[in-house]
Amino acid sequence: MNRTLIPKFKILNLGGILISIFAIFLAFLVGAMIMLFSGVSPLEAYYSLFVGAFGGWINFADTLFAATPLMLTGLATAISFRSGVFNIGVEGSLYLGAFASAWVGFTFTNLPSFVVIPFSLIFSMVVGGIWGYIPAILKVKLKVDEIVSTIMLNYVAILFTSYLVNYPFQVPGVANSMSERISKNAELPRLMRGSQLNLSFFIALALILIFYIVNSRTKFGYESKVCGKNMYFAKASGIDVDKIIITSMVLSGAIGGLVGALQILGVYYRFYDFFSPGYGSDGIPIAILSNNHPIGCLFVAILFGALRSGGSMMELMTGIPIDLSNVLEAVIIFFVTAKIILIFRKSKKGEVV
Amino acid sequence: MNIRMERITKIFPGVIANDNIDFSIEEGEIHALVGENGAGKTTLMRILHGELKPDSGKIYINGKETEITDPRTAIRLGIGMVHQHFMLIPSLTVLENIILGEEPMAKFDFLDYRSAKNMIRNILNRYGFELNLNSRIMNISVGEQQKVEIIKLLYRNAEVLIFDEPTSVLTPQEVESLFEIFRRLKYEKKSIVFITHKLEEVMKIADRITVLKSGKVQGTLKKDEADIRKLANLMIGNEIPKITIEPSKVGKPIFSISNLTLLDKNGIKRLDNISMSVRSGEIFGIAGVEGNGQDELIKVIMGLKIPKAGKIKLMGEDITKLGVKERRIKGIAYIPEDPYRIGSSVELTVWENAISNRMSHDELVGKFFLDFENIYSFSRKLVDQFEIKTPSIFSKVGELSGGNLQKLIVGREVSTEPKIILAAHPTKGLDIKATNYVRNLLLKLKNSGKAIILISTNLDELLEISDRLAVMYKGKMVGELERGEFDKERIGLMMAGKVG
Amino acid sequence: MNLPLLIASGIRITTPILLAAMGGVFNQQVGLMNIGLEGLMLLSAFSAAVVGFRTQNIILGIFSAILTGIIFALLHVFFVIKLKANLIIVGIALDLLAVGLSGYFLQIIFGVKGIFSSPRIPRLSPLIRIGIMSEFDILVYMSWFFVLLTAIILYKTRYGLRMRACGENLEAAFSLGIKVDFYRYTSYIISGILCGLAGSYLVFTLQIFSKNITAGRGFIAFASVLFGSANPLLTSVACLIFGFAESLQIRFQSFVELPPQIIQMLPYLAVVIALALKNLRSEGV
Repeated sequence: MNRTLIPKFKILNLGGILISIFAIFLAFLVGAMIMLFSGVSPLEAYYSLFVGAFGGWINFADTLFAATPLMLTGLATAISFRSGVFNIGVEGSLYLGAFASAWVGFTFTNLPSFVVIPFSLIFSMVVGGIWGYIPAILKVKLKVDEIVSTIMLNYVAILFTSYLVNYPFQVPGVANSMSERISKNAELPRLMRGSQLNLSFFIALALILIFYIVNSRTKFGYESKVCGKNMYFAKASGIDVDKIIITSMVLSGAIGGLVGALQILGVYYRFYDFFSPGYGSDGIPIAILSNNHPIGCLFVAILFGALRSGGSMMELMTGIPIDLSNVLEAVIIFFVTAKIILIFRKSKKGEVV
Repeated sequence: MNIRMERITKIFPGVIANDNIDFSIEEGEIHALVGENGAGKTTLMRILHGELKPDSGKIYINGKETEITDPRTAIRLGIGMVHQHFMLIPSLTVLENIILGEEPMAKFDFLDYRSAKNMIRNILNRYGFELNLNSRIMNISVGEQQKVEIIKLLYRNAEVLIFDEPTSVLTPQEVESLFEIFRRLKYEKKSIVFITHKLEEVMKIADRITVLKSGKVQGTLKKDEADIRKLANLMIGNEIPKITIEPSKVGKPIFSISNLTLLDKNGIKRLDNISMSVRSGEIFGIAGVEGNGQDELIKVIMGLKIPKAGKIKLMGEDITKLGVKERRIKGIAYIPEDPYRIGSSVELTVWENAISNRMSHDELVGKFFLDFENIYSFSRKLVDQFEIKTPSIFSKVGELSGGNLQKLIVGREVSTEPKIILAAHPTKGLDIKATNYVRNLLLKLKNSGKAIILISTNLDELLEISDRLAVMYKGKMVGELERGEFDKERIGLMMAGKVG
Repeated sequence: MNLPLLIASGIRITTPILLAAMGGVFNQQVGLMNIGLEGLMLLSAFSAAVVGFRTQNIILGIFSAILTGIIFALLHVFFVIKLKANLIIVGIALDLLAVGLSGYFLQIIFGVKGIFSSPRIPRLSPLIRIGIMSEFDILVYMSWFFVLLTAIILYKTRYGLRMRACGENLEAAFSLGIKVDFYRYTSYIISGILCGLAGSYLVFTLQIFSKNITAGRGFIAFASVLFGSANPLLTSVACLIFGFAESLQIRFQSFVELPPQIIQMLPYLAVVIALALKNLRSEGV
């Protein structure tokens, strides 16, 4: 049978999506049990969560605002995971990129917006990319396990930026550990009155689309996929596995750096040490849940954004700690990665691994 | 002890592995179970060993109906199996591997090494084995590892010992040594079942022979009733395919290796100063017991392992410093020894597997963006040309049968018009039809001027289609023979390191 | 710089890392490397803090920590073995779950968001009050006892032999009738217990609890196991190196004019450099 139709759109993995929805449902169930155990009403919690996330344009805008950094850290992590690299280091490049963009923002105060914003973003991507290169070259040349190296380097990056903002770039006369404020020209424009949603949302959306195309239609996308599925096969077939690993980790670092920059230019307007509530680490469950697919990252990030944004509203309205959202996220991962169906099956004879 | 298996049936999705099989084992006999790949021999014995449960049928031990629920039960009943892939723990010693699972104990879960040593020494003496109990498995030869597997069974008082293709990893001399052990065991009233597809060996040692084909028993013959032709007919039926060998059209040398040495991570020489050359239009066969460096040699030529010293030249050009990608561009193709782990990615589709070696061929796959129209039509052509049975080029490769996967791999590699093809165990695990397809293909390629380096543990295969044959032993190339000089006994001695 | 004090503090700081690492050794030996040590430590620490605070009884606190460690370790390994989930992903999820759960209950129970500090949290007392040994409480001694115990169990007992066999060739071990799941599950119970001890150590020496009390020690323990190739003695050496790096860092702060953040970076950098150097020696595979 001859098929000359070139598939332009990814065929939806219906089975996979149903499993994810089921996992999310189970997670909410577990969350409800935890809440009942601690004397909190799950209905009240989930209602305020939902309203906080989707009730009205402003709340929805806030959800998208919360989702934006997650879209990109998820994407950044997914790029590495898809190539078979367990890169946990997005958080580190996020911090370095954040500081780099802040530095541009408070140093080049006379440049107009259309110059300083792109300059700042690109510079942060370069810095993040270089930071991503370190564990990559250690892995490729010295076979250093990337999980450990990236986790350790995260701590190094976070502490280093804290040092920068407490010593060389300290604002004189101020007790808080923060940098100078960026110029007004460097601020990312807001999109809606009443919400912090800004241009970064569309930047994130654009990157997701770009990488969707890269993954499904370019040689690099194909080679990364093969590496991720079977690295030795990729190598034996002549694919330059080392180059794929390095490129993937550099890209992850660059996008991580970009996230940091977007947070500074769009939200905080100056660099505070330890400012990130773990955006980079959040990228990991998002990448896992979306099966490393860029479009999946978009939807999962919106889900998590809803949990966060709705969660802070929930905390405001009901006093239930926002940590519950993190618990729900972790439980979702447990259930998605498990093959729940197996709980109903006795292990077959001869089956061990 | 005697065993009777009655009307054993075992069905897997899509295939009847054992179809109403009757099989018996008498005390003190050597019973060969023959058939080609996929006939159901291993399945039947796995049932006897308790690894699989039959869908129907009964097993009688000494006349009593018995259910063998797992391997532990089997060994308690006196039935033990030496598998094709040894079940040994590489970093543990010979002694530890023997006693593992039946360890003699001292207080508080401490191991009683002293009584273990005594018990094992008794077995070694009684059956005439010679082994160093303190050696680690990873440091001893394959033949010795097999002996460890046998002693494991004797330590557990096995009465019936099943051997699954035991000679595929041995030199001809080691095969003789194994048969001596069989005779010794027989003398001690043990029974042996010996699964194989090598009819010559069967005629040498078996008392009775049962032939399986497509899951059914074709016949059970006594030694004096059987001869090789009869057995071959029962095994394959009337379609014994022939391999056509045309007169050789060998050309000039186009590939050479000089002084190649490879060290492993412990500093041990895996390849020891190897030099060889290959001519266009020739099949250069490399024989040797598994683990003597053949697989490493191929990997070094392909660029997957970096040698400590030596040069590799293709068409006069020094390619020693080039990576895998560049070597492929220069004209090297590779049929790996493990089609599932190295030759393909089972989670990817047929077309994705078909172009994995084409990333430098921009005219096929595109420069930056993938040219799907080209790629899909290329994949379809490949499927047609190499008769690969698959629902579509979008099916996952994991759904293909072993033979079709190998055809996909061979097709992919060969379609790049390489100058030299590295074929590592290309017919391993394939049924007769696929095996002949691959062999004929290699001969066709050779006749069109390609050079082929062929590694196989099947000495008969090598003798049949090679133009030249070399033997590897402990990382060295110990002999090189032209087609007219092939002498199986001499080759066997070389494989054992006794000559060259 | 007071050398005996420096050594003492190095050994003290090594203690929780060492305990967790021994658990990690068992996991690695059975073939299921445990990246969730950090999460186990954090959850047990929290449970130790809650029970210790409420009952003022340090023994109950430690028992509660051990129990918590066992429960979550079993959860981890159940998901991997029975539900065939990915080992690394579940470990990472456990680390995330630990932060979320401890943060949630920290708020619910103590009404605090960041650090919960209270003199009412019990404190471990020194075991022997002679000279430098008055720096060490019972858990410090126990951590080294566990190193010895781990080595003996792994190499001298049937349990250890079978466990190592499972880790190297699961199929072969199974074919010999070894109940492989028993060894895989019990290895995680062991790391649950040891992480429980590690978590209680942190809480009962610092007398605080925060979501960051473990500060990556679980990951350092994991790195130590890799560095020591799951050999208990080599692993303990790695733990000592990292522990001393951190101890030096704290001492340096009052001794050297370097910013604290730079000094705090040192242990983490040390891990990366150590792993790089280890592989540098065995290059050329």
